[in-house]
Amino acid sequence: MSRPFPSRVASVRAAPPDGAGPEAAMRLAAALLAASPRVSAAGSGLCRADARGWERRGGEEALARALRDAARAADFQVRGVGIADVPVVSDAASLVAVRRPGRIAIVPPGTGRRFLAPLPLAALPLPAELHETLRALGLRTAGDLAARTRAELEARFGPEGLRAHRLARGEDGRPFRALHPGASPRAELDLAPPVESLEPLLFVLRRLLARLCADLEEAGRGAARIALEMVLADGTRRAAAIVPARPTRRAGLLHDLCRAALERAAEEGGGLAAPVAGLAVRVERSAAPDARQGDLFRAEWRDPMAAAGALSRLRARLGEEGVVWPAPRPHVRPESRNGWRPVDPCAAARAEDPGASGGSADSSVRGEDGIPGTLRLLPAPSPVCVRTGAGRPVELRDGAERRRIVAAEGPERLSGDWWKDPWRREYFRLCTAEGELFWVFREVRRDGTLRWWLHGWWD
Amino acid sequence: MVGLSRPGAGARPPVAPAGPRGGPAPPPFVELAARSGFSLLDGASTPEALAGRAAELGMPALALADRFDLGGVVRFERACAAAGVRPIAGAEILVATGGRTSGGAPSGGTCGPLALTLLCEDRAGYHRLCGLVTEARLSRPRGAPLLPLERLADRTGGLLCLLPAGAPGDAAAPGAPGAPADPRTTEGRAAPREAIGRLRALFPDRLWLALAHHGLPEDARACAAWLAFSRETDVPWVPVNAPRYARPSDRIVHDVLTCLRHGVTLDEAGDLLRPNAEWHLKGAAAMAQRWCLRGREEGMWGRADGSGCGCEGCRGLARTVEIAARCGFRVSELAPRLPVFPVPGGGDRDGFLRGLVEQGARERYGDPPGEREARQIAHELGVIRRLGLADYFLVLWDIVRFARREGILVQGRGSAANSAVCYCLGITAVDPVGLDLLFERFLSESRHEPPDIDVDIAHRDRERVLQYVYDRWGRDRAAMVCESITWRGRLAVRDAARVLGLPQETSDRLSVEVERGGSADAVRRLAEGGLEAAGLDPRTPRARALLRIVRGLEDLPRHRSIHVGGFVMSDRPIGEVVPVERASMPGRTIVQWDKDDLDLPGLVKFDLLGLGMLTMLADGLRLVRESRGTALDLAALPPDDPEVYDMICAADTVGVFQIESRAQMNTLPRVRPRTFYDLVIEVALIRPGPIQGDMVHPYLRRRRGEEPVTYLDPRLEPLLERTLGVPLFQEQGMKVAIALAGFTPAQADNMRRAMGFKRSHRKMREVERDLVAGFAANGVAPEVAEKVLQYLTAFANYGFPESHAASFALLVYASAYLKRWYAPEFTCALLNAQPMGFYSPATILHDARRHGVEVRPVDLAVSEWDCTLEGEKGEEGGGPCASMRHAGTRPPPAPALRVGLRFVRGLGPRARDRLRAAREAGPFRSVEDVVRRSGLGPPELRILAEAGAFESLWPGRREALWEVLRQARGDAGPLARRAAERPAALPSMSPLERVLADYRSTGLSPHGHPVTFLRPELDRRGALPAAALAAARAGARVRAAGLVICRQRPGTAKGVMFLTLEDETGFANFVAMPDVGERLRPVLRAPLLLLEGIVEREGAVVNVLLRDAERLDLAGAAPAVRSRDFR
Repeated sequence: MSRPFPSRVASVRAAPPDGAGPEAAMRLAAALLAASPRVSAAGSGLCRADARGWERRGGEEALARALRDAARAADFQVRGVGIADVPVVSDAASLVAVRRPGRIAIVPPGTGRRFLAPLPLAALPLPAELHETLRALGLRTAGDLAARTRAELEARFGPEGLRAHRLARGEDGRPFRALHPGASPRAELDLAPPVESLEPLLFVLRRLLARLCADLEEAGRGAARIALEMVLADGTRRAAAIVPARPTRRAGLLHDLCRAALERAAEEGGGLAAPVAGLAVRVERSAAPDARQGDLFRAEWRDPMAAAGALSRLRARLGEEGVVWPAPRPHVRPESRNGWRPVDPCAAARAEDPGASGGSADSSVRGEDGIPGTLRLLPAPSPVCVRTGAGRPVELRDGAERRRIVAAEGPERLSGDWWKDPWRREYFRLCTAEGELFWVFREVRRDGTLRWWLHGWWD
Repeated sequence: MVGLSRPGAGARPPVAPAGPRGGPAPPPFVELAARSGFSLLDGASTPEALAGRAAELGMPALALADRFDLGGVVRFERACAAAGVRPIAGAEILVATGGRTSGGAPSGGTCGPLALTLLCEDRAGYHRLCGLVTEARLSRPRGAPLLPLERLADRTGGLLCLLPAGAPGDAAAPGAPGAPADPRTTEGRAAPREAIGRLRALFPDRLWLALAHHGLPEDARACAAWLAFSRETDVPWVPVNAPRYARPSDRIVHDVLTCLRHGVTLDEAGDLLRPNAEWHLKGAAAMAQRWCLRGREEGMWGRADGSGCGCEGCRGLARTVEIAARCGFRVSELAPRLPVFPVPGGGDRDGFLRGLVEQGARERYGDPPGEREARQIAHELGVIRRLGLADYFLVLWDIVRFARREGILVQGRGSAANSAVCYCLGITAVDPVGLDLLFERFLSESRHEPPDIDVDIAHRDRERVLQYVYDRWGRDRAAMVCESITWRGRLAVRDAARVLGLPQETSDRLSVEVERGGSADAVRRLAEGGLEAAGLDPRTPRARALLRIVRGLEDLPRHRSIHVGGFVMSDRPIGEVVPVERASMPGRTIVQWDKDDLDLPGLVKFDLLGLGMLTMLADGLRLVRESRGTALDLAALPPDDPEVYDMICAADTVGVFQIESRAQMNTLPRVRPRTFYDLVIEVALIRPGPIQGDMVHPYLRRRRGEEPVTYLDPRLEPLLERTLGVPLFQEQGMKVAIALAGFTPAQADNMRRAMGFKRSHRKMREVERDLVAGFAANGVAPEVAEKVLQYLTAFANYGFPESHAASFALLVYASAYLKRWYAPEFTCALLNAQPMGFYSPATILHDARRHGVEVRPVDLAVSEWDCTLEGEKGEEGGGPCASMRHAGTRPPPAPALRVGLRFVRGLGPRARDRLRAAREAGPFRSVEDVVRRSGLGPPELRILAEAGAFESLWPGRREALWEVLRQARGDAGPLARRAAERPAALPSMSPLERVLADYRSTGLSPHGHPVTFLRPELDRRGALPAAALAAARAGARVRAAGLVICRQRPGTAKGVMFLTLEDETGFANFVAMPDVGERLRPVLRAPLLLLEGIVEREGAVVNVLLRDAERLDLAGAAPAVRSRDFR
């Protein structure tokens, strides 16, 4: 079958330095984007890249070296790089490349079947059970399998047998679309296995945009409209248009905007509505980049996206934990009961919506501890001097100022965190002659001595 | 509500901590609501730890009230007795105070479920409490026991009730009256008035509010409110601390258990953890500081009699002592009775038993029995009558009778074999009179305990016997004993790592470092480098915490499992004697007491154990009858057959009961057994007791005449003569004590028990003292006394009873007899009884082939699910020879063994049932026939084809597989329908490929041993066949190769590893010293090895001291051999 743009695929096998983890394939794929705009993570330790269009850039050998070096730069240990017409042959070539100079094996166009014939069946991506059965039948090599008729194999293994037969003959129908030379800048990446949470997707997005912006820079253009496309595991696609205020090739800004779009599509908690099997960014409209700074008072900034965009900028500047909300935490230590939770931009947008349901949390703890007032905690317990009589506080000293204590209730004992940072406290509620109500504790230190702290007061 | 107020104002709990400053002792206090580890995952101390701590605190009594659990009361009572504390048995139960849901389950109702602490005032109360716990356990899903309050009606007599009236947030404790409902608790818990009114009606004058104060702000408020409530309603109150652990330092364990209960890490637990360490057992002083205002303020505790100052707090403390005084029940006084055996036609059970025994005696000993036998029987029957144990023996006789009636092979063992009554009743098969066994080892009047009888049952049929017991005596009167599984080293490390949030990988590494053993060992290993090896810095808080947790979890109950065979019964519902709960296995119920906790309350246990060898023997006898027409009787096998003993002496004992292990095989040529008693000795010799007591080698030397048989004292000669002056059996130890120390038989048995009683070193010291005194009084020379004492103490934990060894020796002889004379039947039965024994099916099969058994491969045309026997090929269609009958004296030809389909890996019970059903309709005739009738799916058909099961239906294994694949799929597919098939033309299978395919698909091969294919290469490299090692000279450096079928590193071998290789000629035994084993460890894990070493020879026994090792590979495809690896 003739193809308008004959396919050439590069397969890269590499191992991460810290062992195979779920992110390793994605990290490898992202690293290879430095050498090719079209990369596919094909499984643990294996990625494929579009190998077309390198005739004027040193040929396929140069591409193989570039891919190998990109992987190595990301601390991957490269086992082999193979280039061939179709993935099944290039994958097999990457296995063979382990014993080739430079760990590179290039299979000339049209010779895939001959290349595969002497290789063991293990070089083909066959299901384990089929592989075992073929072995039991005495079929050892791809050539053995290719020599059977299609009818024989279909009769015994059905479509799976036919597929195996095609693979053994170097015919790989798995899609690996080549990019048209001269097309708009585009970068895409297949994800195997599909990604179910947002975080790894954002990691890949950053690399894709970096690639896209590099191409824009080479072309002297800025993106005026970007198509962000997700291919879901069930084959459906989700697309979003990203329209910056002005044409730009600043990857950071584009990342913020794309990220906001992805987060809107994500479930609460970072999970995605459906696993994502591929992500692509494509420049739909480009123009000369606008060097002017943005104007916060322009109308196009005052849409719901603007708040999320601003938040994204803040988060980008201050870090993930930089923008937070107060939130109660179940903890024994009083000062640890109040915490901060990173702001969810979508939730923030909902909260700002006056029509959104749900009221604000009541921060008052009035009356809970039996005292008609509100306990105010110091930001951190403050050392204080307490004079005791018969083991009970009788005077509170704060510098030169002294307060006589007329009532002391306690001790209330709290302790915990013995497995990381042990602490042990005895709290007292003190009432001074002036009617002030204080909350103090004494801390039993490891050497057995006591130290007093003021932790709060009631008002 | 209690606000800030001046000290002394109002009635409220005192607040400031202050220690006693001299003066009178504080008012006494008894903790009435302690929990132990038996409140699974909510109690962090053992009953022993609580009792010990109570004694330290000077507490006169202590109540144990685990939630819906009385599993700890026996241990608690025993520990309290040792500590001088009065034990109070109790339990906490949850009651639903509302109505029922539409589904009938009790609901929380308006007041929510309440926790009640019920304490046993007397025996009737105890029985009621057990009944309530049993009902709650059995009527609800596992792990969620609950009782409707109305179920307590008329069932509260003898029970005292404490209603925990803690702060809001305490599970199932009502919140303070009048306080707003706490959102963390069940709705309405703050309004318990109505429920308390109902409880008062149920427990008139036996209801108290139990107030706990753990130093939290909410406690102060709740207690003040409850005190007011008590005054208002006249419901008295008592202070409790409801401890979850013995000491404050145990708090960490409770936190860990809390995390495990909720499935969170410590970092995630937050306020699931209790906020301080105040839930420990507190003594009178600490409780007085909390509750007695005057004592705290003025440093005195009231009147000199210690009764307190008269304040409300002191009155509450005094009430705990009053309550404790009311609880007089002791578990040790329980003495439940067995079900009354229904004597046919009524009448006296002792008389009925005597009749059965006399009838059995005539059958066993002749009519009339000899004088010695008759005297022994009369003695035993007298003891049984005086101890009131007739029902026990009749129940056991009934079980054995049922099994025999059903054709199930059973045999009693253990100390029961010391009893002539058991022998006459058919419970055991060993004649104790003939073997001069000591009856008191089995039953003693001074012991006041039921005997311990273990009955082995053919394991395949054991469930039928168990269900018979349930049906015969009623499910409400019989239950199985539980086994309390406790945390030990590796398990503790894994759970500790989990709650500390360590990565799974670290947990795995820690687990590897710990190996097996207790928590103390684990802590030591981790502290001595294990933490670093697992990647943890021992200086970090988490690493230190890990060690503390592992140490703290030691011996705490983790969960319950079913004991291997212990049954208990009683004449009243067993659930009223001890709480019963559902076991995880359907159709089983278990009691909450561990097997070790039955003696104190006097609950009788029947051990009905499964034994694979009995299944094998039953099948073997049946096969001999079917294949050769010879009816063998186990009880009437030709005794002392010299050829059987020749085989045993040659250590040709693969598959023979008890003497097939490598250690036993090494000993057999040295012991050279020639009589039944030699087998008894052989069974007992290779055990930890004789090994650690250094008795094995002296015996072997004397046996071979290499050292003279001497006796430490002339009085020992008649006792030790049969074992050449070396004490090997527990009974001998007892007889020595009788002869030299003047012990009575009962005293001697007490000595045995004390020495074997792991928990009491004190008793052991007492016995040693008595022994020494007895030796002196009987004129035993001091040096002899010292030596004898050393021998006796060597039996402390590992001594083997002679009667037990004799019972096993019967099975040894029977299985050896079968192997010697009926090897095909023996092998067939042994394979069908798998898994059992020491060797894999592949090794058993190779051994059979070496003994001339023709082994035929698995074949769908003739194979059954199990292995079968066949005649000559062509005879009777070559199928199973059930119809073969051979008359006359000429020995019939040995049948061939056909491997059964059960060994084809991947076929499960469903495939088994389908194949059986299809074969009942007739044998398979073709591939198409199999595909059409078997109902098996393509994967199963493919597995069968790969195993070669189609070869007689379609020539060529690969060609058969090719055809099966086609037929299994049918004509699906456009190309397939049009296909005109050519001959398969597949590569033919080499012999090696065939053997490897066998191993892969069945784990064994009838087509030869894999090493055969390496032999030319091995010859070239100078490796000897295993059989040739027998002729190797001592000190020679040799090589041998084979599959590793056994790796052993026994605890008594101090790091030495034993490896056994198997090749086509037999076994080669290698010994790796610790340094060599460590050096070669990675290589030695391989399944196929070439080993080199120095020959060590001791008579006919050859071992090779390992020097070097090399992996071998069968053309890159090592067979799927599974070695048996032991530690």
